[in-house]
Amino acid sequence: MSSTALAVSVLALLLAATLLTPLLAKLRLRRYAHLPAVLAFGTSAVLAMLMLNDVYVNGPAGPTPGLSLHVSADFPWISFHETKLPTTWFSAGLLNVTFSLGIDPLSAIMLATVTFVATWIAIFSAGYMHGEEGYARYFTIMSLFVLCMCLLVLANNFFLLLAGWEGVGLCSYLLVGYYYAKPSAAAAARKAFLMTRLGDVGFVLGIFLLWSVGGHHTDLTQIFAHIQAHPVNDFTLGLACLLLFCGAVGKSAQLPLYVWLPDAMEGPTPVSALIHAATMVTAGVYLLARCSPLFVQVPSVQAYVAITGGATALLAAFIALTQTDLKRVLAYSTVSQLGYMFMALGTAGAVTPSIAVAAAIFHLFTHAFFKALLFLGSGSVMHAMGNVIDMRRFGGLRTVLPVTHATFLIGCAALAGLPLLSGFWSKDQILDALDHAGEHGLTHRELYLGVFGVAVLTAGMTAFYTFRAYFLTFWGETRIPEEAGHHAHESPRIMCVPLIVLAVGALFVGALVEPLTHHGFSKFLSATPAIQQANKTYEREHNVRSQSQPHFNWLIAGLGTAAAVGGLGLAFAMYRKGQLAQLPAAAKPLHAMSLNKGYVDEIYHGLVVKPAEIAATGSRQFDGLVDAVARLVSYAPRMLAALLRPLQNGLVQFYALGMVLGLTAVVLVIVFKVSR
Amino acid sequence: MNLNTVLGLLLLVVLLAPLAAAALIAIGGRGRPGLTRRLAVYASALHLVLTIGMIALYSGFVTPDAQSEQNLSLNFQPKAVPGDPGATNGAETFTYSTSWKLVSLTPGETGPAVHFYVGLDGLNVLLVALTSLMFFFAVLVSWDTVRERAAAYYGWLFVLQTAVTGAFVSFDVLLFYVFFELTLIPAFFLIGQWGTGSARRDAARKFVLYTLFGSLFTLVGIIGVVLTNPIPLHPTSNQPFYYEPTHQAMAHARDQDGPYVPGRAGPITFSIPVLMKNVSMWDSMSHYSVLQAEGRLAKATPNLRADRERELADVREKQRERSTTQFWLFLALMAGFAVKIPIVPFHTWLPATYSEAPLAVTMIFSAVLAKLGTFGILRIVIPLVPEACVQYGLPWFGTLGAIGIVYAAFCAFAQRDLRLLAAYSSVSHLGFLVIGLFAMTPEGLSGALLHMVNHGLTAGAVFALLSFLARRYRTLDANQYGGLWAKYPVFTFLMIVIVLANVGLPGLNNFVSEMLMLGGLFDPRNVKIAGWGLALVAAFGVMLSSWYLFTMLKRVFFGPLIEPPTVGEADARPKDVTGREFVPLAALAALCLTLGLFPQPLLDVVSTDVRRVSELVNRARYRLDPSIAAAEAENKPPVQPIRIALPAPKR
Amino acid sequence: MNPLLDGTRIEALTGVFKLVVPEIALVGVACVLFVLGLFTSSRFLHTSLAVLGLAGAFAVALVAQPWETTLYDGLKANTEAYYPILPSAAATLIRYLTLAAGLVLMLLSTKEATREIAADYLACLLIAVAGTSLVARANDLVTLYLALEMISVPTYVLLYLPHRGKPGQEAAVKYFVLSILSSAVTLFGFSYLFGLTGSTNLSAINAVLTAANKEAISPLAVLAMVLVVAGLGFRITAVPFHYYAPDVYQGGPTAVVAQLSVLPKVAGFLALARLLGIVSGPLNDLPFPTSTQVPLLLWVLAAATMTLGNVMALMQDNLKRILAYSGVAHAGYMLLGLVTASAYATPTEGLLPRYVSGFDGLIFYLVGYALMTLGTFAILAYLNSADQPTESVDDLAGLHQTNPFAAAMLFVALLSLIGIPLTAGFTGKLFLFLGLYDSPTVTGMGNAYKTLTVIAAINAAIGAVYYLRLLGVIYLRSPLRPAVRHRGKGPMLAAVLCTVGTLVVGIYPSIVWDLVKKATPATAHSPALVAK
Repeated sequence: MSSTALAVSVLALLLAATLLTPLLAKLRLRRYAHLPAVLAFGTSAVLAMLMLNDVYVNGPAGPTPGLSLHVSADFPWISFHETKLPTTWFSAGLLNVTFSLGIDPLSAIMLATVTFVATWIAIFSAGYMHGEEGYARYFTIMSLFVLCMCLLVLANNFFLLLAGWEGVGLCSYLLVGYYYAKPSAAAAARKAFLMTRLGDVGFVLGIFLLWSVGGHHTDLTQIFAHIQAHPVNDFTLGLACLLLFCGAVGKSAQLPLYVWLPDAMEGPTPVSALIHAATMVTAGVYLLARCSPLFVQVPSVQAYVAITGGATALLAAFIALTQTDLKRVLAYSTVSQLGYMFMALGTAGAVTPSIAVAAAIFHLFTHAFFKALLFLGSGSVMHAMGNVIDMRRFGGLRTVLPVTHATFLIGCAALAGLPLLSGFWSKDQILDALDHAGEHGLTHRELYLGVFGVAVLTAGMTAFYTFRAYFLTFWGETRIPEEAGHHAHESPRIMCVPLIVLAVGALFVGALVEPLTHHGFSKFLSATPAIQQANKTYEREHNVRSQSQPHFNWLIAGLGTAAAVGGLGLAFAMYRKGQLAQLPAAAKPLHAMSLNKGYVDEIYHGLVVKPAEIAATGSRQFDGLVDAVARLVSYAPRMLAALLRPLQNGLVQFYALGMVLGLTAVVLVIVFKVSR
Repeated sequence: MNLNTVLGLLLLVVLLAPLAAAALIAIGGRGRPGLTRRLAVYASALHLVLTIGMIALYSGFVTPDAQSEQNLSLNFQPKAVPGDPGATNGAETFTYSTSWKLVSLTPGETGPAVHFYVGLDGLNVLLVALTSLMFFFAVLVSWDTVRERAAAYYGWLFVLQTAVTGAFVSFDVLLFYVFFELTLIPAFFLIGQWGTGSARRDAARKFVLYTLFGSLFTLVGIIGVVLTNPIPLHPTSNQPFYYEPTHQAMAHARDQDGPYVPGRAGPITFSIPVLMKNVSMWDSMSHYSVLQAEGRLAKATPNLRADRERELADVREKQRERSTTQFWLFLALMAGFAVKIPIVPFHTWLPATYSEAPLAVTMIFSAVLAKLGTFGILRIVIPLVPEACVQYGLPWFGTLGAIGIVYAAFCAFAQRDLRLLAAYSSVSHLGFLVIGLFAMTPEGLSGALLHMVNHGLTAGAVFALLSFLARRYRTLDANQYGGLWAKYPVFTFLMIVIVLANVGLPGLNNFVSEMLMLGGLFDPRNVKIAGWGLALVAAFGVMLSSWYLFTMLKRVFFGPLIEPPTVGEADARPKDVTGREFVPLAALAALCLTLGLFPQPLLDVVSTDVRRVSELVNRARYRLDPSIAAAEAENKPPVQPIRIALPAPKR
Repeated sequence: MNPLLDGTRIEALTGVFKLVVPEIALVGVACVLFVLGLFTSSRFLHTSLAVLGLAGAFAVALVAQPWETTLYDGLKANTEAYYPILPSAAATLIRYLTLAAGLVLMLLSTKEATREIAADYLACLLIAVAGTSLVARANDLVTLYLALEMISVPTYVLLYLPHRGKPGQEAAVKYFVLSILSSAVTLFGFSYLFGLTGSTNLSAINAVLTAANKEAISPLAVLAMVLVVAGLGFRITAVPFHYYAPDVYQGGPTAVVAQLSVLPKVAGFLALARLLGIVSGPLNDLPFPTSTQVPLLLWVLAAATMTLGNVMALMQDNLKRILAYSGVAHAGYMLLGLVTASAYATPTEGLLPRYVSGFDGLIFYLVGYALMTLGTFAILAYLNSADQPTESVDDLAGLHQTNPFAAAMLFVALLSLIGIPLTAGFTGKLFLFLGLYDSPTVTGMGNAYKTLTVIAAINAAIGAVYYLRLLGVIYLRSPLRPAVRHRGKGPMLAAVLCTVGTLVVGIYPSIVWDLVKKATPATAHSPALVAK
């Protein structure tokens, strides 16, 4: 099967699962509702691997060399024969939107990652969600989610991408609000949807701006080609890129729109693992990677991307330091790690784009494994603790949950970036890219150096809060909350197996794809036409040669390791007893600041939410005023009538007088002014 | 009988059958509510079937892009015209008129006359379908909410259907106005007699007076347009003289020698297709003569200078007068439509009306009646005063639309009554629609036309959903509800689908039309006029609509269950969606999804006529700003001039 | 030259009676009725006689029409023949209209004209009808004045006839006094016209004034016209000569008020049109061109009349007062017809009304107005009874439940008064607006006509308020008093006739419009299309 056929089959399978699951529920087979999802995800993962292989073997051969393997899908599942199915979604005037899929290394890697992680999370969910009332609903939305995510990844058309983009947002909304009766879940769901939509306003405008300057194309490859052929002025392109970045900021929870992600932990834990760690939130990173041919042309926007990433990474890490809710720690760590990826993306253009993008996507790739693992692990803890997730209420679970403990430890180590684990390699590439941009970069050198410092600092903080959470949960004396009942025990096998699989991934996958294959991942990714194009632009604009591949820098690796070990050591020193430590008085205000999440929610509430609500109430009041004005106008004739009414007083003499006076007035006018 | 004749008959049936149904029900159903509502359902279902059949036939008639880029005739070319003299001869000629005269202004001669001129074209065919569909649903929704004097209720409902359909299918400008006004009478009774609120009488009067006030200006505007745009006649003979200077001729007008001989004013006409051609002709002639007079002045010898200056001043004055007239006519025409849509700040009748009328009627109001206003802009305002639309449409009414989007969204957020929330939400969406219309590009116009259908479906669906609650509980006060998901999962599911459609989620219908309308705003010519501000506001409006709708969802469907006391006996346990309720709701949701995924067939139907309108507007743009013409001449094939002789009217 | 020496004119004076046979017949029947009333009070006899009189007049009119048409066509060619009676085409149409109105009024009054007064009542009505018809064909100041008084004098009697106590008496006195005043003013104006032109013949007066005003306008001519307009303004209830209307309508018997709302208006407008010279044309060669104040005066009069009428009606609670003001407002609309016609009254070359000349719109509106107003009064007369008087707005509450048929007819009449499509009121307004908007802008009036169109549109909207209030009371409120069986076949029949007429004229206006166009001076049509 060709790559296109594989991609279409993946989408079709997922669609089938989405439609089949509610049917099962209708047929009173709710117990088996997980089967379509698990099977579809698993098969998709296999197909995605095959596709990856196909792209690897056959390479991205497109209609135009150097552009893209742009496959206009002769639509779905029957691409083998000449069945005429619509290739156009909608088209009017110059706006022509097609169902066009783009298959290249970037999308292949993303597709494989998404489906692989999703498969194991679905298996885990089958155990975790067992017996829930909305079991079928859960798996339906899950299938829809993966479908949308795959669409997002495979789309070669901005509007199709937007469809997937909004689709995953919707699924996130439905899954965060899964426990609809819980007010906090309802609030979190709404918040998540609205904040990402706020970013989407920019995204949509950006798309249209690109459409209007990009020769009225909507296909990504065509827009890139058109803009390459007909250069656009920096302001317009910068504005368009900034607007696209707005969308990414919302979806990938960057400053200032990150606050929805920690709240989104109200959903079931596997959801957090899938959506809020491994897949959906990485969409912004993916978008920027895909649009790198545009972004490399506007270095100032790139600098802004890097700064945003750095600031987000630092702030989120700072907040994560003191959180007591295990899932929240992980959520902030996700925000922080996404910040990392944006830092890397932001260097594209200052350094060779392929290196920067590869670093970001590589981190995205490894992060998917260990962050999913950590969330699932915390889910396993919750499962055992009767849905209690506050680390102050349990501890010393080493013995109670041996498998969870072991896998969680691996996840922590990978996240902290301890040497030789997956996280280490990817983080190292990002630091390397930043360092390179800071030292040899072509623009904004000082700025990248600053960001590099932030990244190192954040690495240390990451190790600290990760292991703080680990020690608080698994070390010290065993404490179990009463909600857990009498026999808190290890999770069933269906939940443990995914943990183990992901743990293996977290351990080895990083090393396997990069150092052991001589940067095979980066090289493969760089073959993506869009990234190639970005490289060419970079070469042309700066008149330099692209670096072919990242090289391992011992100094940077050492620095990263030192930061990680330092953080770990500090955490060990403070929390090895599994108890919250007493802090020196000097740190109290900082601690409070961190604990209260930097008061960002309160600030937003005061600056945006409240004013908007006041404006709404004001508008409603004002509407009464508008109505009053309309009424006033309608009363004008009545007022005139009230003025004239005394004339009709019933006295015949007066009437006669009135008639004569009227006549006299007319005559007088005429006497004084006979002709005009 | 050829296809056109059959279609014409079918159109007459579709137009008048509701009247017959109204009479039948009013007579036969008196005092028998059960029979009445069954009859009503059958009648409206039959009507829907007929309409679908008609449209199926019609779409077989129309092949998209049958008109090549080069010879796009700048006329609405309605099909299915009953009484079309061309059709009776079996020839495929279109005379833009019928042999069915209502009144001739100069009896005994072939002078101007008001005709019963109805037909189908790309602009109205979707709306005719929407009307039939929504009235079917309205009848279903009314099933057990209307018990009092049901016969009269359904009777008026069907009369309203005829009036609305008539306005959509009219191609005679006065006939359009007649149908447009006739909607007031049934609306008055439906609100005033079957309204649910205590202030229904005031609401009914307010609605009628407000809209009447606006539409009387529209009448003056229509009279003005008709009188100022007679059929141009050949300078010497009494033949129609459609000889528009070509695009190139316009560019070289200054080099032409000899005074330009414009056509003479011939008889006036009420036929919209002819009128739009006339308007374009007179506008072109007026511009051409100014250009030529300028050229003549430049080339004038000193002793001729004074004469040429006077000549130029003369034609300039004429042109200035014409554009002043067009401006006032534009305002007058817009008055009625702005109130009907409504555009903020002419919307104050709407909250009262929507909250007092029965829900089925509110559904019709938002789904269909509001479209009369937007359709009027598309059918009457843009084709008949194109230059004023280019100059003032987007800057004035686009701005009002943008204000409306934000303002109504804020108002909607602050509403506690779900009905008012839906009402303001409708105003907000219609603001977007107005902007899309006045973008006047193929994308914007197609999007706006599609959005009329989409908004009809989604706004109608919202009110249909609210009737679900109203039937079970006394109130629609959002504060008295909470956590309904637990009790009504199916209803919640449908509600979420419709809300998602409303907020323009991809895959659902509104997304497509909203994107197309946004695309219209990014046309560089519109950017020049209104900046990107309108696009920003419009896109932001989509976000605002999710703000208030998701807040509503959170308040009413999430959280712990709270319900107000139920209607009826205490032990009657309210059930989730019943079969009868499910049909309209599920059908609407399914349509939203279908149109979201496969909107192209609809866009194909409208494309040719939308291009006509936008091409007309393009000419106006070229005349007003020759630099646009020059810039576009490179990229696009030059616009074909109007060079079509009008067939002789039948004696 | 002495006109008396002209043979043709003597012939014209003697042959004049042939032209008014139907009117003479009506007056004759009236005289018989007066006498008969002394001897017998058989209502059947009186009514049959009156109906016979109307029918006979109608028959004679039909018979005479072809001959009159021939004569008129001949007269138009011979401008020297100054007949005191001019059988213009418009006059013929108005004759049928008044006869029809007379029939409706007779039906309408069957309830109120009791046995004792029936003979006198019917006789007065017939004389008024004859007078109205005569006004339309009067071509001499004396004839015109006589015809006008033939309407006024019987009306005094009619207002007195039913002894209805103080309000009725008061109404009668008011009408009498103010009517005398207005007649005096009219007569004063006539005397000026005679003095200026030396003739009492209207054709002659028009010809002389037209010729004279082309060079320089005599202030006296304008003054005379102002006086005449003022005097006739009373009959058409133009502001500020409308004062009597609300009081008299409220106090007078419904049937008489119905007559008062139609016949004097028809007469007044026809007389004005005749004096302005727009009845027979030529339309751009009129005595008072736009350079005089007369068109402006008409403009102001129209604007003031419709505005005041509509505005004042908003405040009323008495049904007949509302209808009085409504009548004032509609007089304002009809004045638009005169305004339009006078817009072309300018010697400018080639400027002619294209489609609606104003006078045709006016006559069409008169027909519509008669239909809808008489329809409304007929239903009020039908509903009014001693034990359940229908006087105030509240008395109509819930009529659609107590008497759905009457409510439906009132509904149609009110819609027509608002000007909703498919009724005569809409079509009438459409023609008036169309003509007015089409008026030339090259004259001194500039865009004033277009402005007036907008003012009229706003007025139509204001007018809708109080009509809609009535509709709301009828349909949206519940009855305040028990349903009773109303009696009165006559008013009911009159109402049905009017309702059907309103709808027919509204839906297919050609029926009336074609007749009206034939009866009014031709307009300068734009050239018709010629086949290729």
